[in-house]
Amino acid sequence: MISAQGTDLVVVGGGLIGLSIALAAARGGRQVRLLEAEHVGRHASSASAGGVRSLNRHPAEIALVRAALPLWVGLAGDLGADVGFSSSGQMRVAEDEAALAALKARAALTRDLGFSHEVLQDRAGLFAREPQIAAHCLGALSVTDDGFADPLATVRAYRGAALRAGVDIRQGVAVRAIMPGITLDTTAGEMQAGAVVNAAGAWGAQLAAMVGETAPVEARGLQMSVTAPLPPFMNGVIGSEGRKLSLKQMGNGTVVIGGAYQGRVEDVARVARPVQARVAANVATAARLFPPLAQARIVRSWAGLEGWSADGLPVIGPSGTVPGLIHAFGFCGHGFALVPLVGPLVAQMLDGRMPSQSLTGFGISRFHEKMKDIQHA
Amino acid sequence: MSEPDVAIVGAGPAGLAAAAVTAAAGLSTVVLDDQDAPGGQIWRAAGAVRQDRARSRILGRSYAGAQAAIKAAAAAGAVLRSSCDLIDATPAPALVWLDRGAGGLHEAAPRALLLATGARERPVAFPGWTLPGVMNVGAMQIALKQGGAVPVGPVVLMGQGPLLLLVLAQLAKAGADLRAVLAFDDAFPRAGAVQLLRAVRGDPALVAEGLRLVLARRRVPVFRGVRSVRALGESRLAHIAFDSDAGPQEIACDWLGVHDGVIPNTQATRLLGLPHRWDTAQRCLVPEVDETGRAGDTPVWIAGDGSGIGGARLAGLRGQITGHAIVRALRPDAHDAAAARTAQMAAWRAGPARALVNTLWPPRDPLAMVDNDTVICRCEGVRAGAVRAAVAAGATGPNRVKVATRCGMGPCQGRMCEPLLAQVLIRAGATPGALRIRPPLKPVLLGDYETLGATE
Repeated sequence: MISAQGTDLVVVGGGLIGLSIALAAARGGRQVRLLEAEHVGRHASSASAGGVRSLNRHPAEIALVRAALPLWVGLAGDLGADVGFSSSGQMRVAEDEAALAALKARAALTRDLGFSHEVLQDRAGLFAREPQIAAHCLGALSVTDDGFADPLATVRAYRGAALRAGVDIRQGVAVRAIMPGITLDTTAGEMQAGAVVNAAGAWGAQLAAMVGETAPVEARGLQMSVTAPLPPFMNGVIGSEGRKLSLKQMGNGTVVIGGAYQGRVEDVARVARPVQARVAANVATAARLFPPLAQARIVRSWAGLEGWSADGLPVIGPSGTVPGLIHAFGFCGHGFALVPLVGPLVAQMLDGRMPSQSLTGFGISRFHEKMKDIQHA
Repeated sequence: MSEPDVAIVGAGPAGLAAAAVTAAAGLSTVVLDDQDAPGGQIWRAAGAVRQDRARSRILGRSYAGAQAAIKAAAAAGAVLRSSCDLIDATPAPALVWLDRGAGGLHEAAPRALLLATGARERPVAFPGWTLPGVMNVGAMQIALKQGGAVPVGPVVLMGQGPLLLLVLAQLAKAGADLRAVLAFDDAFPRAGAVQLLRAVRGDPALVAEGLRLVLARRRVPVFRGVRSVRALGESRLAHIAFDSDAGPQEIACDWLGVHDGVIPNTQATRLLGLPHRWDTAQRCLVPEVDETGRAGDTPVWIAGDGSGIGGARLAGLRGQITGHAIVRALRPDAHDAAAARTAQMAAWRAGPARALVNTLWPPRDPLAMVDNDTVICRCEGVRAGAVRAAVAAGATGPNRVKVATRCGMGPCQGRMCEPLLAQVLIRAGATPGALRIRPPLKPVLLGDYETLGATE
């Protein structure tokens, strides 16, 4: 049933995940409205470091991100706008023997799961790929077809493609309540929808709570810093085993430094502020790995709000209480790589089809089952 | 260092006056300033200027009061720290600064934070304004104050306002080769007699000084009705071309100093995420504060030109008023109500002189000379056309334009482009707001983070 204010599908959340879902559904013939409480790409999507990484992923996510990688290669063509994707490769460096042993164990684990994308590099292999890396480094785990993209360009490209596909993007509209049916009570009035997707990121758990579903997903702000441009000194995206670090030099020479340091979340203001003492820890790790960075100046640090789940995995799957509602939130700071895949997968679920990649284990019920276990223990 | 009661950012007239009040009341007070010596922009390099007879002859008049203000703050026990750049601050309050002398980043969590970061010049954009040789008259004055440097080669000034007149007089005194003034202001003052009288009564010295400067401008050829200005040259400025009431002109020059008044420096207040309002007449953002300079119910105060332009004398008085308000909040028993009232009365008397300045020199539309090819954001090289296109495509706020075009995303974080961007939004019927600022407020060398210590 569709009323005057109604539509086939309402996607709640104008981040990259919501945009990708809205685009896929609109291309599948649905009439789609996207509601965004602030403006498109305001939080985690714009604050992302843009990593497209299958390296060192949670075992449950490896198949998904490996399936997403080929989509990134053709994404600019698909969206009709540049997304700044570069297949630069990613490496996780071992700075000591313990780290090297950990990387070897990781490589064995991935192999046992049936994947072959992660390759151990010895010292010579590492220095052949990154000649300017610090002399103490012993080796690395590498994935050659990983890379990175430009988050702002990606937001622009998805927004443009969604608009062209007929998605009705409503900015500054927040959802206050969800009633079965499905009726949404929003700051712009009531709306009817055949189906609803919760792609509300850091606020995804709040939306789930509106339909009586709990998910241990909280808002956190991953902080990132960027330097003034430097002459080229590194080739791929670099992490370090046992340390919080993600490092890459962009085409314009600037170096983006991140890696799991949390900013300070201010819930009321809906912002996360980077903490300079943590920037200090982050850049110290980076400078140890690449001596040329000692000459760099940090020009900006930032943090974007993102949903973090207790088990480090996103929530993707149908609601257990409201038929027609599908959750897709809480990507824990590594959802960027999955964006081109999650849209089509959720669109397939909306159509009642089997998703082309298994999403078993990502549903919101996984938390409820665990809670039951605890009660019965 | 134990935590200070009061941290003040900016050692200009407002910061120094506030520090003298809070320190005298027994509150431990530290004043951080990015210059090499206290005094702010208005009293830049005050000690050096006093000791250099040549600079003192050119600049001396505008330095009256500098030594007294610096001595009063120090004598009251305030710690004045120079060469310290504000890097980050939160309304907690907490702040992080870079000490360029001792090296490294440092942090403090005071009970009260006072931002007295003063004014900056309104950007004057036109085709060619990014050419080397084109600069704000403030930059010319800094060179004069800092090292007694006078531009070599022909100089043209363009714009309006007290600072332009002052720098013109100072450059003339210093022997600069002044070729012309391209005036934005009218030939006939638009102030009424009543307003003039009130200003004279409130601050006769300031009005007399202004009159002297206006008359002094006559020594240089003045062009009016200036439009279609272009700065031209290969790698640097060689000449300027423009239309005027006297017809099309071309003047060869090595230097073009531009100025259209000053606006509050909102870098720090935007970094803190404090609310701002748009001042339509002054075409700028102003932080929202109460009559004592306090930002809402936060432990953060703003004094001096940073909370709305008033000029140096008013800044000192507003610094005093805010200093008393901080004492009342932190140490009520030491509050000197009579002194606070005296400062308030003096500020009221000084007000009309500023109102006269605002009437005589209302800011020009900053887009009046900006075509689509003119760069708005110098850091990222974003042109006006790209910004206009983004606004037309639905980017209805400054931060949306930033995401869409990178305008305001460079190292200066909108210091230059924000007023221009705001005007594009206004013309499109949108509401201008504050461009978000990310720390560090100034670029920080990686090695300077070491002193903060790794927390995890």
